[in-house]
Amino acid sequence: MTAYDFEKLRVLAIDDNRFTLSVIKSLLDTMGVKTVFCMSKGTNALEIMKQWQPDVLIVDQVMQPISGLDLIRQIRDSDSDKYSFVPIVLVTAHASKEVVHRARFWAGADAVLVKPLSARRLFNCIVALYESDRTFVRTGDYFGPDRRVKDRPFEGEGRRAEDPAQDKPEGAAVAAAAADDGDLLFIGVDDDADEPPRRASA
Amino acid sequence: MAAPTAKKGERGKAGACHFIQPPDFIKSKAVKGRGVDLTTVEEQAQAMVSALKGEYLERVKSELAILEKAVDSIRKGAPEERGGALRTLSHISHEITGQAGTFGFELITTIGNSLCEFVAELDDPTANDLKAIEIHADAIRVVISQKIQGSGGEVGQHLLTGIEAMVAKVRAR
Repeated sequence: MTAYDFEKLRVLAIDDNRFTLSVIKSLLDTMGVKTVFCMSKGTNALEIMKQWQPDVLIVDQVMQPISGLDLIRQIRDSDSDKYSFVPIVLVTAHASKEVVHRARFWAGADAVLVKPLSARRLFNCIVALYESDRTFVRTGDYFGPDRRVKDRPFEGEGRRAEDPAQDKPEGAAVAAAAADDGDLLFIGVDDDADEPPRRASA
Repeated sequence: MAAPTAKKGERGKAGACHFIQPPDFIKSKAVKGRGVDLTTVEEQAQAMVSALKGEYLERVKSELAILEKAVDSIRKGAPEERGGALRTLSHISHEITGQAGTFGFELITTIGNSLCEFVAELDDPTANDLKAIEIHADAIRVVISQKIQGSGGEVGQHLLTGIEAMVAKVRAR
């Protein structure tokens, strides 16, 4: 089993439930993450991100006054050269089709982690983020991680010559393993293999 | 790889598509091949979960008290309080559902899911709807008081069957 040293990782966790925050912090501690900043609402998250410079964000979906999805969209839309690209995990108790779809194709989350939180789920999620070679894509109405995961050749016109999908990263296997647990909903997980290859339109 | 032409804060024009290689936040800080593996993490987390279990159970009790208060507010309060109370019901039922599995109370997750679905459908709750919410809360209290872990075996099945029948009856009215 592969080991990972996450000691230097800086994680920003945002959840309006303080107890859940303490659970997240404790779980990250078991993974060796020493620096965790907790916030109970996302209203000034961008400000904190600029000051504190996190490497990963863990954001709860059901929050007031700004929901996790809205916050992620706000971060992706920000002018920051760096922090609009930060890996973001959305945490939710109910992974409804609508929430997952909006997280994936509207907000620009890297992953949706379904509660209950566990060490296994969180560890697999962070490892999948580590292993994934994320390219970002900007289209008419989407800015966030590129969702194309197919490794079969595209037969139409206009395919890019340099195609990250051709070299499937090791992370895809890790992400697929996490997905098998039913807890990690994307990060390069090929969840609709029967559909034709999707262009980068989000 | 095409360089981004739009400013980062702007979405692109319809039809345009730009690919950007972002900074690698995690790889620049984490190291593969040393540190902790999943087995070690799970062992350490087990101790953490045990240490927090008492606090978790107290937290669920206080969440149930908030839920009961919201039910009372709908039952006895002014009509303008109903919207806020319904939002509280929705929020609290999600909170109860989300945390339970971490501490091994999968039965609370199942009951909580039923509660979440039931509350999500409520627009103008009737007396029977409110009673159904209270029965969910009572069932969770039973799980807590008897410290029923996992799916709860026969007792758990009995509780769930009762809740399902009750919800079906209330929906049929």
